Amino acid sequence: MKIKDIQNEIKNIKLDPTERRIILERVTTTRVRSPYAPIPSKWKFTHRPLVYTLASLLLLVMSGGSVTSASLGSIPGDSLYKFKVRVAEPVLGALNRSGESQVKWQAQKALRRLDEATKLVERNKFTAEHRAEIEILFNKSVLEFDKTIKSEETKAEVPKLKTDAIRDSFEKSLNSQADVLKEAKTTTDKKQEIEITILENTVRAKVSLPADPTQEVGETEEEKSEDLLEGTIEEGPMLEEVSEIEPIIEETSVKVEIDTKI
Amino acid sequence: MKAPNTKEYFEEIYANEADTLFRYCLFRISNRAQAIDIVQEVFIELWQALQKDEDIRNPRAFLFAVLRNRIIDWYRKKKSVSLDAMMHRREDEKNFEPEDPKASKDIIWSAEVTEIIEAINFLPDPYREPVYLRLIEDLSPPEIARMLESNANTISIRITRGIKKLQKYLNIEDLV
Repeated sequence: MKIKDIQNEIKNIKLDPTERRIILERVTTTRVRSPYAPIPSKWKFTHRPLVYTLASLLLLVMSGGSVTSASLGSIPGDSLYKFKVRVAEPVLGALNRSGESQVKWQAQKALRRLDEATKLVERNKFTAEHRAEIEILFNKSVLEFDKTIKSEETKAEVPKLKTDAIRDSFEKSLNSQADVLKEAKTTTDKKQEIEITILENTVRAKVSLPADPTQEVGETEEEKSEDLLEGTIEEGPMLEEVSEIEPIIEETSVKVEIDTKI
Repeated sequence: MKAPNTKEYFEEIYANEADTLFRYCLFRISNRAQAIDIVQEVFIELWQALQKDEDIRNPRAFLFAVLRNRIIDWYRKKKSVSLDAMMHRREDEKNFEPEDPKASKDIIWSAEVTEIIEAINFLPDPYREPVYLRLIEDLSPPEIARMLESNANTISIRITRGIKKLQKYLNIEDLV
């Protein structure tokens, strides 16, 4: 292959028009703070975010929450979706005061985006535009999740085990959602399949845990059989069922003994 | 030339440079979604600098310098995440394996292109960027020098030496 062919092949890789438009929109709507601007007091009544939050809350109360609850079930392309991501969710997010609840809320938002993607796939409406929109919102939520959890980790009063557990749980949920997307590819057309692959890769890139669930939990056969026994006993079988279960228990116990000896 | 710090001026730069930056970023990190994020961050820096009336004489050089720093940050972050993952590895995770750097690759190139991209990425730092910009983006040495804020002669020498090394890696004599 000549170098010209290689150049041409590489130069074919471009941002697609939707991505270009979305990036430009996001960049040019970024608020620029003057280095000379005074630091606003958080007690000042005219503090803008506070005014917006209160006004939105008032609006939500006045509308009886019906628009909000209707919008929460919307997906990209629906008329209420913009309201959901720009008004309803920020207001709901503002209600989370503690760091932990904020972290959980960010994780929940990221997972909601993936859930919306799955719904779009089911309805055969998962276009490049919707994928790009979901991807941007998803990345934003994950970034906010990372920032908040890092600031939580620096607090002496928050145990590291707690933040680790939240992170682990979030990553496991992301892995499961990525698996759902992977599964969805088998029943969809080529066009949607490409978009699903891109989103799936984005999700996988955010996860540091192994994708294969069998690698996540190092549960041995022995532990599994113990779980089986515990579960059976806890459920409290009826008297007539005991006779059916006993041989199973005996058989499992023998197997466990043999495994231990080995 | 339009007056700096206007939206039109920014949009003109964006239209001219977005794809080049995106391609270069993709070439370095091989992850489309992350490349989009990084390119967006790079343009946000330019936008903010223009809004603050900063004197940016060569926007292309500015963008490229920011992009290089962002890519370095990305590699650092990635490295620290992998180290954290290894440190928190539990004893019962027998099947733990470090992250495969190729696992996140979502761009499919032909075998020849993949080979040449890997070879360019394998070049030492001073040669990598000039060779990429010369061979792939087809820019002249003075243009590359302006972009990398260096001297055109130095860049020419680096391109020549870099291409020789590349030919050696690829075991071919007439690359250009």
